[in-house]
Amino acid sequence: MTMILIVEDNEMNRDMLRRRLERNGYDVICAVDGPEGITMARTEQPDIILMDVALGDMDGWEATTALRADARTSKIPVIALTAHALESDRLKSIQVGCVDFETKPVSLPHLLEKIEKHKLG
Amino acid sequence: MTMKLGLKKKFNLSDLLDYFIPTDMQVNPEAHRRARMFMLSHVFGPVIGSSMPLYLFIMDISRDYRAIVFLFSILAFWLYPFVLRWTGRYQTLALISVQNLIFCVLWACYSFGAMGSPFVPWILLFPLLAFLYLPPTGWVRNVLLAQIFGSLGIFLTMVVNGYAFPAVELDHLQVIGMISMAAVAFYFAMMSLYFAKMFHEQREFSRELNGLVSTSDNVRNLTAAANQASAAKADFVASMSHELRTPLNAIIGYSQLLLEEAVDENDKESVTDLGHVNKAGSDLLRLIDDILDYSRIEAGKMPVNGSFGTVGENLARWAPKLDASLAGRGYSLVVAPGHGADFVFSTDWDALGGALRHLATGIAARATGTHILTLSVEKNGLGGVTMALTEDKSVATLIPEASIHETFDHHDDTSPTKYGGTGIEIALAHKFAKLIDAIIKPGHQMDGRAANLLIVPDLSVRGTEFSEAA
Repeated sequence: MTMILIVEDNEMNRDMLRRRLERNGYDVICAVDGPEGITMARTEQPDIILMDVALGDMDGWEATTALRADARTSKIPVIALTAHALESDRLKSIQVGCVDFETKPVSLPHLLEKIEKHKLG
Repeated sequence: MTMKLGLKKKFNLSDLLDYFIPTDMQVNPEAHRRARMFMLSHVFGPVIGSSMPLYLFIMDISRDYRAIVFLFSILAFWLYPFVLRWTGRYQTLALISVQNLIFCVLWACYSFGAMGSPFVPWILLFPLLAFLYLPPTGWVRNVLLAQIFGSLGIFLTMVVNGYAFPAVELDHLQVIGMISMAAVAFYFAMMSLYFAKMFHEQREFSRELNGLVSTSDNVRNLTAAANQASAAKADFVASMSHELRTPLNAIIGYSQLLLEEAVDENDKESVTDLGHVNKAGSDLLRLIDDILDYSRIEAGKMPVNGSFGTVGENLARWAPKLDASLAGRGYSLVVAPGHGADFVFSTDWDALGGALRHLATGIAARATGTHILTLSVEKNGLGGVTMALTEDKSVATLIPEASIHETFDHHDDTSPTKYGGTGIEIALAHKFAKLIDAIIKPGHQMDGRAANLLIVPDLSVRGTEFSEAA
């Protein structure tokens, strides 16, 4: 089963996205901030990471940069989730090493399509 | 009658004098003052001065070359204003005029009594007029002093050396002596009064200027305060929008989750209700995004990044938002075939997409037609493209001209309740268009149908002027 790591600081958004993905047959684990997301990525080795950009002290782009720099997590694809559909956000996400970009509120069909396209294995 | 009276202009001596003064002198207060004095003495001086040779002639005291040369050397002053207007060479003319005056007075003295002449008091005018016309500094001052003392020196040398001046009966010059003294006094008084008036005007001007500077400072301070308030408002709206989006994302997400569950359970009633919740949430989210965009543009925080591309290749990128916005109004967009969509030019494609989306949504909010909007793209004369939005019927729904320029305008009372309002959509379309120097033109005739146009110039050529040709 495909394992997805959601890194999202908002509890409701985290829970809602987890439940929707689980309904579609995914194994979902969650982290509440960037450092926890990096730790879980190292230990759990998910097939794909959904990374919220607007996190706390360490934002999603910094967390992605750290994941890319670590040999244990550098191959795990990261999809950035942002609140604004700005071209600059999309470019920044690609620059730091995200494989794709999705705006919130998430369109589940689009997101599922991207997950299937980029997940490991 | 009223118009005639309104158009009747009061005679102004200063305007008459300024007619002859070069424009570059009029903008410099000091030079302007000197030029005015020059003009005043050259316009009225000959009127006063010519009375003396005319008296000599009429009274048969002198009807020979002495009076004629005296008269013409005075009348010559009337030529100077015209030569000044023609050539603009004020300094040269002023130096020649001073020499003209010296010659005129010394000729009169030479011809009519030498040092006993009634015209000797006019010698006092030499330095007075010379330094009223020209600044008493530098080489100009030296030339003027050389003119005055050189000429006077020659005249006095002739007197001291016992030069045989033309014979004249001094008894005959007693009346002209009084006239001469009166004329000198009048001339001095006139020049002094005018000088005093100009001095007063300059003081008033300085006071008004200081007032304007003070007002300008106030305006600058108020503008800075307004900009600060605008930035604060933009920050507030941005942070509020973000705060509103977060729970709204949850509302939309959970409603979708519940909707999926209701669909799985075939609970039709819940599907309908949750569909309403989801749609209302999505509409609200779109409205918040619009307000945020509007605020960012207003605060000048929406950067404009020009890049070359085509409408065709960007339509795919714009499609999700554009389709969602139109679908919310029950509309869909059809792109008409044409070469304009493949035309390469420079613009900010995000801003253009925003302008198109909001214009289309604004039209859809008002329209009552077949729920299909047709977009055609043609190359225009501004290096860019003209995008025409028409409805699939003979008469398009037109965006009223007023609502293009008035933010949050509702054309009529029924529109907002019936169609959800068009105010912010059109206002935003206008704002996005303005970012890229584009304009929205409603009511254009196109293939016998009225269309709403979005005229987009090539952004790499700034300062493009719109014309009917566009």
